[in-house]
Amino acid sequence: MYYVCIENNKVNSILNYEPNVPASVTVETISDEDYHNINNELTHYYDIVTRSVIARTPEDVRVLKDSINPPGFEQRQFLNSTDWKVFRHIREKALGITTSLTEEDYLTLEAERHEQAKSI
Amino acid sequence: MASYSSSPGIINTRALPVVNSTQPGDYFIVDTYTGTSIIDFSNIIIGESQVTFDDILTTIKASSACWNESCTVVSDNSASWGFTGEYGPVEWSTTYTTVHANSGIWNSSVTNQTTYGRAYSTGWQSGFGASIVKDGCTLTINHNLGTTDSVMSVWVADDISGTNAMQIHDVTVFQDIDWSPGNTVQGRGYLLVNHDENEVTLVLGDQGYHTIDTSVSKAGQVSGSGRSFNGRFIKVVIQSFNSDNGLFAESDPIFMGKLPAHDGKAESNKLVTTDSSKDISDINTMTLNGSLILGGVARDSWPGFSGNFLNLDDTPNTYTNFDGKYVKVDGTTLIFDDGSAGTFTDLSDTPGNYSGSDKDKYVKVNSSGTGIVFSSTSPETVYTYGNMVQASGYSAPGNGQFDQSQNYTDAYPPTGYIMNDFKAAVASIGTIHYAGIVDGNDSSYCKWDFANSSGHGVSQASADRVRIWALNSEQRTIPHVNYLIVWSQ
Repeated sequence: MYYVCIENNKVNSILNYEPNVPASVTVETISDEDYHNINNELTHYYDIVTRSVIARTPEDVRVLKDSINPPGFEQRQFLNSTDWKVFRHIREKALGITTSLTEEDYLTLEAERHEQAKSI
Repeated sequence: MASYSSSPGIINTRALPVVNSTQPGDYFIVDTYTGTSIIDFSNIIIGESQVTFDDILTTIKASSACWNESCTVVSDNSASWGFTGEYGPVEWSTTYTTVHANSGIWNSSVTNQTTYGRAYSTGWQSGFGASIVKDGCTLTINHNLGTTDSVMSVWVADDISGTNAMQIHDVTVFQDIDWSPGNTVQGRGYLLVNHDENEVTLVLGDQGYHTIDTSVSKAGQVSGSGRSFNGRFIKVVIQSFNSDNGLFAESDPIFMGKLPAHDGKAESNKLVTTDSSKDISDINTMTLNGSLILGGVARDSWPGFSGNFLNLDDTPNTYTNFDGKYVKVDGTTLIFDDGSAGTFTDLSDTPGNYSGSDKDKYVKVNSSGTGIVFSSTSPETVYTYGNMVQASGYSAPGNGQFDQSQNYTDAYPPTGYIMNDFKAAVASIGTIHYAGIVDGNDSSYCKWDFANSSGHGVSQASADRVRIWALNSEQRTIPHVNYLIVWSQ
């Protein structure tokens, strides 16, 4: 059981213990599953008007999750995390020293980066 | 018989005619040094030396110079008036300051008539109502005992103090008996002519009463001549018997304290005790023990009063095997009891029952310190924690960065704790989301502070919650925050 603390028509907190609240705060209880859907899955929210847990629409869920994980996030992360390998290979060739990546490995990396960049 | 006659020129008074009465205008013959004279009856003055009651008259004159029908006030301290005539006697004392002369109510002010439970005494009286004590008089006495089951004794004495008191008995009839109340009985002693529940009437002998000759030669013989009741004092004592054949009935009032004057004795403060030396001033130091007797009954036998707890009618009769027990009302009696209140919920300052939600709760003193309540938390140190999405909302990208009016969650003390129990808090970033490239002008915050409904930054004493922030510049979406708070009582 979780405790939803409401003050001035706003949810201040959702606690996993029964709180000793001031008179300005009212407390409603929700189930563990409701808490999980609100706090972790972000598929539900607590509605002040009806004093109940309401499911978000699929579109709202998508928008919310996109705000956390925007489209291309993983691709950007891949590109960002491999930039240094590309820079190193170019620098080693410019310096005329043996490259860390073989030419074949380098082309494979760039091909993957190109695929990721295209999906953004 | 000698013959008296008068010679010429000589008149023998014994030869004069005899008359049986003197009328106004008559004369008496008086032998004087200047010869025989006459004196008008109205001019005859009888002085003190000519009467045998000179002493009594002298006393009255000394105390009241104007004793006649017009006299309504008599000087006080007129002691020893004694026999005073038709409306006497008066038991005169310093408490009497005004007397209504020639008044029939004089006797009603005489206070030495006394009723003791089922006994009654007139005290020494020289008259009852309008009747004075004298030979052949009729005396009516109101005793108000309410019964004819009684015995009576009649006493005679020379004065109000009972000098030469002796008991007198039924009349010895001499002649011409007329039994009607109020009529003269030719005899000695007295005759009881009426005896009802509240009143007796007796007639004194016309010839007074007998006395016993105490001389050696005539010891025990009745004196030949009776003694007159005239000028003497009578006391009548009547004792009745109730159904218990005792002195007091259950309904009789019990007298303790000041006793009025009675039987010729002055008013006293004596208590009804067996120790005659005690009076009412000793009551605070007296020990009421078995020697105290009331109505002939020792205190330990008085109904419902027996001196100690065990002897009361509605208490246990022994202390044996009851050490450490308590006294408890059990219906209409007191009993010894273990003092157990039954179950915890029977107590007046505990929860009245165990509800399902009370399972696994703790017992603690309430916040006002007046009783016991169930608590979800133990009285030990507790920790509250969470990994919370910032329910208060977050600042949109580019707007309200570092907005502390949002981006927080509030943590309240757990039930049974107050802000004064707060000991420590730790906050850490759960997740924050940046909206753009983090560079040299971006910051991330994670902190806690005391707060109340008016805001944060207040003292712990003024706070009712702990507010935890996790926020950053260029927020992309709702942050999460971790926190751990320590509470201890």
